[in-house]
Amino acid sequence: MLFVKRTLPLLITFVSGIIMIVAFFSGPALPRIKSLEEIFPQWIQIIMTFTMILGAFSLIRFNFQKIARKQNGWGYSIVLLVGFFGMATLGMVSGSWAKFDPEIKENSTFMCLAENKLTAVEVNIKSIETTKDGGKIITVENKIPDKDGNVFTRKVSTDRLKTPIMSKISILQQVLFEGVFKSAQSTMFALLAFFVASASFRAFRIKSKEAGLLMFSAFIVMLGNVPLGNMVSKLWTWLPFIGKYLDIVVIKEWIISYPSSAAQSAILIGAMLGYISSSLKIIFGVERSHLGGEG
Amino acid sequence: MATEILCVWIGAFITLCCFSFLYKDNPFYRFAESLFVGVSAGYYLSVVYFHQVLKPNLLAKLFPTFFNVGEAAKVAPDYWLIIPGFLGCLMLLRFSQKLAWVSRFTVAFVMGVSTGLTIVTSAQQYLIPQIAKAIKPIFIYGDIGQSISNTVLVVGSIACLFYFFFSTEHRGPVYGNLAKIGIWFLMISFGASFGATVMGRISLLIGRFAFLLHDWLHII
Amino acid sequence: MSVLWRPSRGLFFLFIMALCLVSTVALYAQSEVMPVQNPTVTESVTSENSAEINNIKNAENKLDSKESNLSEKALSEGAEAMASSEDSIESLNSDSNKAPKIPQKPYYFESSRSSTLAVILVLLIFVAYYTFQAQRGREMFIRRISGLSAIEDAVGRATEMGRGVLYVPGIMDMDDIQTIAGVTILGHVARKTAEYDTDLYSPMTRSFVMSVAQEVVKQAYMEKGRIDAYRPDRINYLTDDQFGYVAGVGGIMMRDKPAACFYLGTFYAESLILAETGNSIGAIQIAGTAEPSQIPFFVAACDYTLIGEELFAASAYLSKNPREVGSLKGQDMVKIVIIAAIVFGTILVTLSKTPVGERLGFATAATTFMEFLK
Repeated sequence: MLFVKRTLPLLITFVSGIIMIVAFFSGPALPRIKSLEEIFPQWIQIIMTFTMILGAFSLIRFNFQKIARKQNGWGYSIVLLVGFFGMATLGMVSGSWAKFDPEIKENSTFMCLAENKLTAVEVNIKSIETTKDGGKIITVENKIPDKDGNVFTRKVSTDRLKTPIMSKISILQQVLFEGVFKSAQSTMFALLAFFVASASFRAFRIKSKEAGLLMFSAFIVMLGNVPLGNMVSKLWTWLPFIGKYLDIVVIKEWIISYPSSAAQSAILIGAMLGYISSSLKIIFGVERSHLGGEG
Repeated sequence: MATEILCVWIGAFITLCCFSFLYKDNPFYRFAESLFVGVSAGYYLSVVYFHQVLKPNLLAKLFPTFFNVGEAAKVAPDYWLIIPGFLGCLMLLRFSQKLAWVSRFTVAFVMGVSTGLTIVTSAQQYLIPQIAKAIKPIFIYGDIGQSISNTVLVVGSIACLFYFFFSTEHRGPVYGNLAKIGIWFLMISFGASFGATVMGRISLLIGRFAFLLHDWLHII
Repeated sequence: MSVLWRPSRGLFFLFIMALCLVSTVALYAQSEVMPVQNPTVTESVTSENSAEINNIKNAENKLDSKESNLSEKALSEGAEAMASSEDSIESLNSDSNKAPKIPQKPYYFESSRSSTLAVILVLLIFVAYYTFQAQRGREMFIRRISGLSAIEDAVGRATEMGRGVLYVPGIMDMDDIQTIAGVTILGHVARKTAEYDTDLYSPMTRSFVMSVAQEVVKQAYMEKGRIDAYRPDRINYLTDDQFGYVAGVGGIMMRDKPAACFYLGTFYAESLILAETGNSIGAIQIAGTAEPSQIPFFVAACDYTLIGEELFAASAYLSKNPREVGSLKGQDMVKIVIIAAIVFGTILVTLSKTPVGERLGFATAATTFMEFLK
């Protein structure tokens, strides 16, 4: 049993790792092996997708427990679960289900989603064109004229044509996506501006020679990225002898292209050695903690 | 139109809730955080993992008649995909206390493929090009400026590599000094990266304020 | 030797043999299969166009003479000759295009990737040699890495303060080596938290990483005989979204106020949000990543930062496992080889840029060397 539990997984790691290396170096004369270079990474994508069920279960259980035990902040767990189930259900239903989607025929009536997918209007299908890649371009006409009595005709893709119920589901999903997901995502990203300011304050307190160098290069690069840098450079041209060499933008470019680039190369070389060495250790079973214990 | 307005108002509320994090943890942030985590997890589960990965790459190829229509539905199933499907299912045995160890085979396969791929790609795409990047002529006849710049690049790369030595202390006249120069170069590089990022981050903040003041309040 | 030791050595020899065999077969097969396009075509091109080639040579000679004599006449002659030779090349190409093309036979070994194979083999040989040396009992030294030495202190501090430890193994999946390194270090941290009976929180952004991390932490608690203290619900999944995750972790940090925060793995823009939030709650912070763009933020906001390769050295440093320490020594030796290659290459390209070097053939050598590194 120890063989099955310990040695067999090590062998699987070893064999699959070697296959990937051999596939990488094999030429077109070995098409089957060569194709594994693309097939195996696709397979691990699929495998990792299955674990999402474990993740979802973990999220649900964790929050249900909080609610059941009425732990501090259990109300927020309800919000989280409502958001999760709401989005998961809407996302699952509003996606394409080829088997159940109604066939789009000429002269039939559909709801056409706007480009931002937040509104929909009733349209008639005027004509259907098939593109070279097998896709369809549908010409539709608004069923109800607008305020001025105009009837719009436009070309849309099939994913924007929905049944009345599905269009409502899609709009609801889009409201959650744009209103909550996208807004929160952009705001969290924007918060970085404040954090960069506080981190700069901390980094620029010169405590050592090294911190001074960090501050100096950060200052030059920041200055070189804004118009103020050009103004400072112009001021310095008044200095005798060295003034003309003190162009902030040129100095910034030089710092990025030479000393900074040298350090980045060394970091990457070191990191890649670490990558390869760690990978070799895993393939040869030297590092095996990811497989867990004996049980 | 009503849904568009609703969307902007929800977006503005969530934006303000998230900004309140800068003050301290508060019920508004907690509400937005919980909703954000829930909605994003739901989105990844349904839209990204199911509709964008699992369905086109596994289900539609294994059961074409059920997940496709027209010509695509007539394509023969790709039975090789049973293997990743099976290995994926093995991961679900983690729910069982007794059979959890079986999922080790899946982990082993994923680790093998990932590490095998990492070895070759990191050597080919990063390691070798970075070595090549560090090689420059340190004396160019008639161009002192370029010669100095190239010397800085070569010396900097070597000195930084010395910093990453683990099997000896950062001491001694040669090694100690080279490692110290390496630290200087690293600090200059960190400063440059830091400085280059600041403006980008500020523009993100401006974008968010533009949403609040333009799309929501219509002030600007 | 323990039973668990054997497979690695066996697998290694198997691998070396397989690699040698594959390389030999591939190179042999390549030399057999790849040759030389159609000899008749080559011959005909050679014979038919020898005159044109001579023209080109003449033109080149004339251009050379232009350089030496600086004579305008020679320049114009050379230019004319070059122009005619260019026409000749065009005609030569068009002739060869008209010739029946015989498809090149497929080959077994991708020779354009031979430099990659050479680099991997060099690394493998050094790492394997020093790993075996260390295994045989040869003492190997690792310098002090302050960020790693501080791990125990950080967990100790959290214990003293009666607060927990937060561990973030990056935001990428298990196919990323930095994540694997992060999860491995999580095992070491978990041993410490088990030993000190400190709460360990590790919210995850990827469910696959979560399931592996749960196994690793469980194993660590078992090793320390504290399986009763293992809490799988504290190694929980949050969301796959980068900023959704950071919002969740930020909230956890603000509320639970862990005394020690570890960020070890792949990080992108969220690095600074995590590090600054950790800073604001007064936690001792240890970070490590190989993402060059994020290291500055960790350096600015954390107490200790593992830069690039130091992240991968952590496992060897913390476990003191001879095999891992040996592999680290092997990596250092490869670095010496790389430094030697940089010095050699620099000398070569510098010489190739001098008039003497060009005459002595350094230009060709430098081009060949740089081609190898492409």
